[in-house]
Amino acid sequence: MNWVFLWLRALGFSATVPGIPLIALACISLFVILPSCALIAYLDRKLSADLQARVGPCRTGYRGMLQPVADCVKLLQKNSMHSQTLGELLWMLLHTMALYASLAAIPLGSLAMMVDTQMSVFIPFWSALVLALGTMLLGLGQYTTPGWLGGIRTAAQSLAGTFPSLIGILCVGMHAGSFRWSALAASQGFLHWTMFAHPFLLLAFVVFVGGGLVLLAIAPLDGGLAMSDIHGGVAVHVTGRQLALFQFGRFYGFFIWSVMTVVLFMGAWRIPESLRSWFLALDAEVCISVVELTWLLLKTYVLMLFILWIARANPRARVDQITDFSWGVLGPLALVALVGTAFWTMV
Amino acid sequence: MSRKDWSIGPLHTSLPGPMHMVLKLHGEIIDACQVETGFLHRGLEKQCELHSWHAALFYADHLDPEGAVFSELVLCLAVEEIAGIMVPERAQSIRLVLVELGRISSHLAFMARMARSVGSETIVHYVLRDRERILDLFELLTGARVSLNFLRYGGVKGDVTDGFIERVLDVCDLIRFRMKEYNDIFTFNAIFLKRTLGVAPLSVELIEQAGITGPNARASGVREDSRKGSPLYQALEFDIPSGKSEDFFAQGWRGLLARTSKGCVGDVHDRFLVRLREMTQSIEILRQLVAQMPLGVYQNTSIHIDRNYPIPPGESYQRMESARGRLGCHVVSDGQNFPGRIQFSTPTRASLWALPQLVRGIRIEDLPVVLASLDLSIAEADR
Amino acid sequence: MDTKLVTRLEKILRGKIIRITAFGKGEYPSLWLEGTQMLSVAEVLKEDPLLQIDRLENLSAVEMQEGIVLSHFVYSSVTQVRLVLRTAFLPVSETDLVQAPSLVRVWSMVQTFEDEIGELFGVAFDGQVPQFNLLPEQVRGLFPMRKSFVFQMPEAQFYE
Repeated sequence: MNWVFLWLRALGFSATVPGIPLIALACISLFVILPSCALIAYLDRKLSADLQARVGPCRTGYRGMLQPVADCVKLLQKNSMHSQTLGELLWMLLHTMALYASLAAIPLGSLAMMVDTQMSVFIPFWSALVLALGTMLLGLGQYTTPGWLGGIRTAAQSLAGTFPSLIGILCVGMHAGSFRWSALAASQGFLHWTMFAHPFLLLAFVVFVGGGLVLLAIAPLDGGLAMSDIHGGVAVHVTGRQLALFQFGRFYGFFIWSVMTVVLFMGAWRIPESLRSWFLALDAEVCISVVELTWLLLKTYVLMLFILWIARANPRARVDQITDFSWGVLGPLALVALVGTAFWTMV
Repeated sequence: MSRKDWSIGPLHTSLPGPMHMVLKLHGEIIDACQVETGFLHRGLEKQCELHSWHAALFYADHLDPEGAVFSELVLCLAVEEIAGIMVPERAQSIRLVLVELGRISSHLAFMARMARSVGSETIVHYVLRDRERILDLFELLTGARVSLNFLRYGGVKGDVTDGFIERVLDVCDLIRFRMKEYNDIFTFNAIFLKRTLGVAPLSVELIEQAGITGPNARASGVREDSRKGSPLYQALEFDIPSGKSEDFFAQGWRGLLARTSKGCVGDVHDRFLVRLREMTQSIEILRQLVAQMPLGVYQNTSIHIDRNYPIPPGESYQRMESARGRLGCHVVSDGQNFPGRIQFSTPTRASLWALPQLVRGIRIEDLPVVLASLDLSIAEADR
Repeated sequence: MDTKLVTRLEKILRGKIIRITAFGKGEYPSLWLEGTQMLSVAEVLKEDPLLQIDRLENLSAVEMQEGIVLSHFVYSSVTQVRLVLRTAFLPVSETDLVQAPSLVRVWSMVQTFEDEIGELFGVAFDGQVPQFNLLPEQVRGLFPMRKSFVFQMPEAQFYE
């Protein structure tokens, strides 16, 4: 491990900066995010194949379980056909920033949080915004009309989706009394989820999830990336390694949004108190972390697959209809939820 | 917002086939468009003149690959009228069975294209799976799934095999059953309604100016169907479904909801609904046909048409209702063993002519939806 | 052929028709006209209250010994009358355009037919040079649908 500390000192950090967080970041991304990406990609393809009376991946590995690995390997070994434009370079920088800067703020259990401040909830939200900005720059940076249109659409959608989702976060913060991950989790129980606490919070849940879908351009609200008229929009000329990065970025946005939803509204990582105290009595804190992480990820996956199910069964909405929906329906509902939560909390 | 010219085609996901469009954009709204076709011009009509009468049937097959049986039938009718060849009743009945099956198959493919244009992947697979059953029927009877090559002057190439009738009835029941599923998932889906209601309505004036026929015209209320005046369909009872203004309440509360939304007669949703209802009518026709199928021979056995058979001099013009509209065929014979002229008048030509006026004012995202809703076949338009 | 229809046609188009025959097996009449009279005949047919021929179904061109014969298949959506209007033009040479009148002002749906016949047969409707929409570059201007046209396979090009 010494090389980590040497590297840190060489970069100018003082000797007391721990290297553990860096290791932890690497671990999170390797053992939580990447496997989640693979699992969700595989489950998405298999379950949507079931919905569509097809088989889905079945050749790579047992029942196609190695399909995500095969896709990744295929994408990584492809070269891009043209040299990188300025827009693409900016996009890559921004994407990398958004991806790796917010890794530290993802809550993965009561003992596995690295950033537990009053701003911790807003960091993944910021990350989603930066992802959207990067996608827009990618689109505008390509000298083609589909890319330009895709970029503009993404920008419009992201603007529209920000407002309701932010209000949704505010509602929960009001209810829990703080924006710390630990406080948000403490205000919920194993089955006492925030979204069932009172009707305004259920409304806030709907608004938050809807706003997130609009912000992140997740199907069926992905007008900016539509295949049918603009050939995939921003991703028209993105191939090979950049495409892997792009798809991973999209998955990452979806994933952290779902984790945020679960932590804010769906009970976080709360396991039954009896189980927790039993583990503590056995002095097995690692077990607590593992069980909490599993429970959290399970809920996250269920939410993600539910959204993917809705996406597969429905057509794609038009971009101006999405933004109308976000500003005209989700926005007022968000304000209603905010006012209602405020009154409920006071009373 | 800036004005940009966007040139799409000849190969593009939103286009129904190879055609070139130049769109004058104002932001995302299309102000004007220019359509250029001709990428699939194969010189079919010239080829027909260079080979025998027998070979002309094979070229007619390829006029519109999805509706091969329609062009075969219209050519057979025209040549039979010139030469005075009698067609046995059983053969006529078999021909109509194929025509109606072809109509259902074409409309199912239309549904798949429509669903793909709005980005709904699920219904595409369901519809194509059901279309496979019809293509299996074609294969059972004719040996081919798409390019049937089955009709001959004076009848058909072979008789109906054992079990074909039962399978036709099975497929009728299946499609009838599946229509409910399609309606549940797709036709009255809220997002689909939002994307198709009120979009690009085809006005009656434009229909008359362009000479549009078929489901596109019927969706706007122009109830013309070449089948109604045709002697082939005299014994059969069926309706001509038309636009939203009629019997919409039959669809229940969802239909009521769709109707009270901002839709109008002749919009994209109407064109979709008309084809759905035509499938139902085709099923009724099929059931009547197989119930009344007369016994007899399947071909006019008194003549034998081969490469050297001369058709007497004369001419004829026959029309029939294909899945896309009125398909006409003008045949001129010099009395030799190869055609003097075979000319097809295809329904897609009129829709293409009306296209620039129709897309004025729609958004780019509506373009694939509108193009899919017109059921264009570039192969047919270019020949 | 409906004799009432024939008498009506002879009455309103006195002097403009060359002859009336039966089309094909005799369902409806086929009017042979001079090229110069086409437009006026079309207008008369459209405006006549008993006929009201407002739609055109098909325009086809055939090259026969009379020349290029244009057949307009017209009908009325109101009175269900069907007619065929025919006229013939002799091309002067293989590569020259034939001049024909355009009936777009009467039946607007004839536009696409005229475009296609223009480039395939070499017919200039109302003096307009045909726009080449359908034909690929090798055969533009060669009027492939004329009987005199024989398709030559182009020389094979080998790329080294």
